[in-house]
Amino acid sequence: MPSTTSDQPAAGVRAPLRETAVDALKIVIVGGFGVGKTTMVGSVSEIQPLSTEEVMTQASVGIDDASRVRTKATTTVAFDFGRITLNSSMVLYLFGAPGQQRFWFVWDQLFAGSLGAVVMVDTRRLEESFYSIDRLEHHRMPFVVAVNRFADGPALSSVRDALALSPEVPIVDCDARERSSCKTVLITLVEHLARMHDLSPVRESTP
Amino acid sequence: MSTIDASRSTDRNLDWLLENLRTKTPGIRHVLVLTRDGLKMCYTTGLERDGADQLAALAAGIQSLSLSASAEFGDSIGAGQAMVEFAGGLLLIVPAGAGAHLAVVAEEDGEVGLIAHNMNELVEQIGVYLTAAPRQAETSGERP
Repeated sequence: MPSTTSDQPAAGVRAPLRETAVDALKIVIVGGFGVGKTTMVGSVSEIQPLSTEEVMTQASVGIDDASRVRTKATTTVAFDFGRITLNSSMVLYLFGAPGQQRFWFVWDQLFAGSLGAVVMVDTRRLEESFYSIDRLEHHRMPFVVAVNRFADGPALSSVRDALALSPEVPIVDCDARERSSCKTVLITLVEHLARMHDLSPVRESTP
Repeated sequence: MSTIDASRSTDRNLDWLLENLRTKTPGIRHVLVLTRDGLKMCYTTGLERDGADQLAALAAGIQSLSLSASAEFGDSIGAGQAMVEFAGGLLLIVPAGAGAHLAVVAEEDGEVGLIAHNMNELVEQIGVYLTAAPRQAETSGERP
């Protein structure tokens, strides 16, 4: 895999868009509340990510169930935005969707023009990803499932069964905090898209 | 202090002040106070509960994007005033007390200057009551 971006942490990094970039792919990152969507965009983006995180207020007690994500103090209220260059010609524009139901109306706009999606899953709260998968299947949008490993959990094959995924849908482990791990997820998605859309494979860096 | 936890009388006073803003300003259809994480706190009577939920969520999104815009292009970081114009109406949002925003839906031909002036005046008067405190950490007793 030709890595054209540095592996520096994303914070504060301003990488100008390469002039050779010709293929821009819009990718959405979806999933339930608190599964790590914002973290993923933040760790993998080569530009300072746009983040719309707001402090969770007392009004959210009883509405946003943070009981299983105790350290969570902020939540996305619009969307996250980041960018990553995969090779000299291909650049991904990443849009992280907000997780809570009251912001689902944003999803339609985020889905417009998107070529594919990453569904982030926390195996302790699998049921929170059902809506994302239903919605993507409804839109007929190709996706991969990324299991954000917060702790030891069931094997990927069990998660696949529990989510009733079609055999062609890729499922991978990931650590949303790790840039290289997130990048692997995105490459898996692009390769999946290439298979489905007959795009040129990611590994061929220039036409 | 959060108005969510406020006594009933304070709530009623706030409701009255929001109603007062609506009736004294020509063109205002709805007034709503929302938390920065997108939940309704109080609103005027003409607004349905579902409409209030929707307005709270989208206004929080707009204000959060405004904050990002100020960070990228402004001199200092802070959510300013936002205005959205659409067929059949206007939406104006200004920061209220800590953690809260004040949103107004007005008629298309509403006088923006006057509406914004009256909104800011209200925040000056009672912004201290229009706050939403950050959520407390979960109680340690439940910790596994």
